[in-house]
Amino acid sequence: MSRGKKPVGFSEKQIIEWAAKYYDEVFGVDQNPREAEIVDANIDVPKEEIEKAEKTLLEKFNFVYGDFEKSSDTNFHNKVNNEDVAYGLALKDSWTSVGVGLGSGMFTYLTAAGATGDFGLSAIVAGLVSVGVLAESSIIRIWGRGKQEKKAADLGLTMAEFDHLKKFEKAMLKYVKKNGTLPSPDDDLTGGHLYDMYLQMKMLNHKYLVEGVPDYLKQSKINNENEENKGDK
Amino acid sequence: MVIQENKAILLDDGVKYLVKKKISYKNNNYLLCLSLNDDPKAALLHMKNDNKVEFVVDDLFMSEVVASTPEGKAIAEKLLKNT
Repeated sequence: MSRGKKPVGFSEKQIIEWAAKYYDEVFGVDQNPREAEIVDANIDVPKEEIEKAEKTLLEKFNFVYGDFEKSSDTNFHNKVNNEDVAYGLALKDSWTSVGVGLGSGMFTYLTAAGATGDFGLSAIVAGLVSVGVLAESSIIRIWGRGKQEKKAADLGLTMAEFDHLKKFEKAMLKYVKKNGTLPSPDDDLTGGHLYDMYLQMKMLNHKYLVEGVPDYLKQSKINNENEENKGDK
Repeated sequence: MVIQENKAILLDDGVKYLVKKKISYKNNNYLLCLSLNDDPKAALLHMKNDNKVEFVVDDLFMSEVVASTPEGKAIAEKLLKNT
């Protein structure tokens, strides 16, 4: 592909501004976190009281308790075993609200998205992984799909921009799964989208760029080749 | 004191928090909790010492600000610096 081709979609500056804005909204910082003393501990709590609190929370925010999609090899991030999904709440029909997932012995991660196609925030989470804040195996996808328009609006994006973001991830997945490696920014397999994807990953210091493509995705390349060979016969 | 999962802690604000999960990360201990009051929230607490906690995340499910530690700020800066 020719290097001189103008990338489609966001400019690097736009992507950086967008991510910075969104990062600030989602991971905003309070310089004076509240502190409290533990007065008593290890108090037995009646099951009814726990259920009442969880039910209230669920009703209040329309939460889906523990409704996570288990990882698959199409997951952009990583595979997660069932036991890694220790506790989770995700918003139903909303994309931007925050969910939390825990991996065994891992740190909490916070994200507002993560489903396939929702690359922007997935990338932010992946960025947190890449800087060593989060354990990669604690990354799971939150199954909280809502209307596309709402997702886009919540992100401050037009539908066209949002669709574009989705294409990033799909294109990247397709490329990585097929080739077992990252695309070059010069690759133009999807009309230039990968260029933008690459910039986004670069900006977020994406783990793939730091650590390389995970083995399981390389393995999927082998599987793909096997399937293709079968098809050839 | 050893905090146990699935039992509650009582904080000096008078609210009981059910400890859903204990988390160790970089020699720090965190508690993922559910507050047991009329306005239940999921919170992430950092154990400062045996009897003091810091609300790393006050309300996990607020739609906007969720993180609240200098570490979080450092993370943000590090991420953005990589641009």
